[in-house]
Amino acid sequence: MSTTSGLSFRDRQGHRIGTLSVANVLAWLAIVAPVIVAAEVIRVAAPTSPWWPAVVLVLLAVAAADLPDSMFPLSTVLGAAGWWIAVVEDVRLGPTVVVALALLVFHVAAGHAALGPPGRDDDRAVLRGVVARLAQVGALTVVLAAVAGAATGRVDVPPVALGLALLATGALPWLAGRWKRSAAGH
Amino acid sequence: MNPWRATHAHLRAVVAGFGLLVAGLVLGRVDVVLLAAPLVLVAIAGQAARPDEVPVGRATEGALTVHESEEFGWRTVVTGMPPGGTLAAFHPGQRWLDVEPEDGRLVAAPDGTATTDIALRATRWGRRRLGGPVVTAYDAWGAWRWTPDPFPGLQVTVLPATEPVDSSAPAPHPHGLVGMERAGRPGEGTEFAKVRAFEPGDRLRRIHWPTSARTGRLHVTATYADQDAHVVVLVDAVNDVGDSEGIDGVHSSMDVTVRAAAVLADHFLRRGDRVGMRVFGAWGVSFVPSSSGRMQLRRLLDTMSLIEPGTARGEDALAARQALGAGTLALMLSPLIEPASTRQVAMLTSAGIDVVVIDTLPQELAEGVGPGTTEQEALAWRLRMLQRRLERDQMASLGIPVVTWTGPHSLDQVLRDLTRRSAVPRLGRR
Repeated sequence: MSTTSGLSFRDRQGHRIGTLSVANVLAWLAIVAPVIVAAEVIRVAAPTSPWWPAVVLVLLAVAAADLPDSMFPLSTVLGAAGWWIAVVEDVRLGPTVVVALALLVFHVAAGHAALGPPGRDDDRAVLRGVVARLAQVGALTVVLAAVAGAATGRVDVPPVALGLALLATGALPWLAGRWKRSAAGH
Repeated sequence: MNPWRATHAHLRAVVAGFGLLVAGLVLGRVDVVLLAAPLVLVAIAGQAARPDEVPVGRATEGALTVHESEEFGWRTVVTGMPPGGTLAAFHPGQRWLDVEPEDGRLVAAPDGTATTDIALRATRWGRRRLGGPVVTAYDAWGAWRWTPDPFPGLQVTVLPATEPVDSSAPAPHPHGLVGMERAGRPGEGTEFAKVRAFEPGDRLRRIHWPTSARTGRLHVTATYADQDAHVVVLVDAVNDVGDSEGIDGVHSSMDVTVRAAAVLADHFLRRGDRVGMRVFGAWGVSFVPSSSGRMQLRRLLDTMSLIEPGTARGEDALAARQALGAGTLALMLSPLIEPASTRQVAMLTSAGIDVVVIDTLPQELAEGVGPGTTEQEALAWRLRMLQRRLERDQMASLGIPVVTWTGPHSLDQVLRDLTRRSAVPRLGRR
């Protein structure tokens, strides 16, 4: 029986320190790569921005990849968003969507990594479910961005209206779920 | 009270999503609202998916008996999972236990029931309780988690591995009524001895008609009796020298001893002999009376799996003789580290018992620097090895066969020699 599905590192007493496998590397990349992409997009969108926030962000992402069930992922998201708010003045739709999707991928990947010990064996059905939900939310985000982009210049879209639209979009499945459950209860 | 607890991911989506949304509204920036959009959507979806039902988990528990290197499984079934939920299961590994997958498993619950199977494999004999496995259930969005009370670990009895021996050497001094051994005297059996003249009491089906017709007098075919041997396995468990990495790695002296004892017991019991066992130096296990059959093998293996070396020191050397009579074949399995084992061998031999000493000290320890770490310990080990070699030579000069255990065939030649020797009359002190 094979006891590891990758390259296992052990100390002198035989205790396992870690396992290097393709799945582990992909999980790590799914957490760190979106943050690198977001940092690069912010740096391009705000060329006068200092370089060190990018380094801090990547370090936070690496820490989040090692400890996904901790406050590091939240710090990473808030750090990236705060940097964006602080330095990006010439707002364009494209970079905004890319950063929003990068943060979504980071959040979902970190959330998935936190479902059990690192290096565990995942069912394909679980991965399919994660990708499907990621695609749904990503598509909704793109639709919202497209609506906002299409309305910009033609009508004055106040952020409040967009926020309310966003809440209404999100509330729909919630309301549907509650209605379904109350119907089942009766 | 709902036992489902929010995960860090859900808290992150709520805090970051709604925080950014509020910041965007306050600052009047559409781009920040758009950054918040996916996280807000995930947060709302996660909140909407909060499960109400409490799942029920069942897992493999209790006691089971396996052989070394034999795979067995730990299964968990959790019902009442939320739609699209996932179940993470993890079984802790420990010394002499392989777990696959080592880092646990994450499975889907498509119809509200999740089943996980984790393969386990014990690599060393003994009885132990395994560490408590853990499972955690999540909803479809990974926003809520439920952890049941820890499952109790399995109680596993690992019997030493036995491998078949293809040995044709007979055991000396066969006794008893049944068995596969050819006895030294004629009797009812299958092994041809000679053709002799008919005597009253001979069975008619034994008449050898060709010889009878040629000589004009009745002759019968005489056979040797089929009988069994009385074998006692003496296990020296006073010391366990060296490190043990299980059946696939480095073996300690006790590993070699117990596995050799298991192989020998299996071999002689398969032949129909009576086998007993005596253990020295282990508290709680000392003596298994001789018997034959598969149940006796299981009894012996069970006893071997309970051996805890070095837990009972200073036993009387005379204890080895108890319940052993002349003509018994005693197989002494020992690393020959403790001088008391040599004394026991001498005592048994002087009582007319055929003793074969099987040296179970691993070769790398006998020739290497030993289990110590310092220079002084290495020197002490070397001196002990020189003494040990002298003791082995002395036993050999007294006619006591000493065999280094290198596998099931180590005994073949020795048993042949003993059988030949046992045909010669000799005197023994009783």
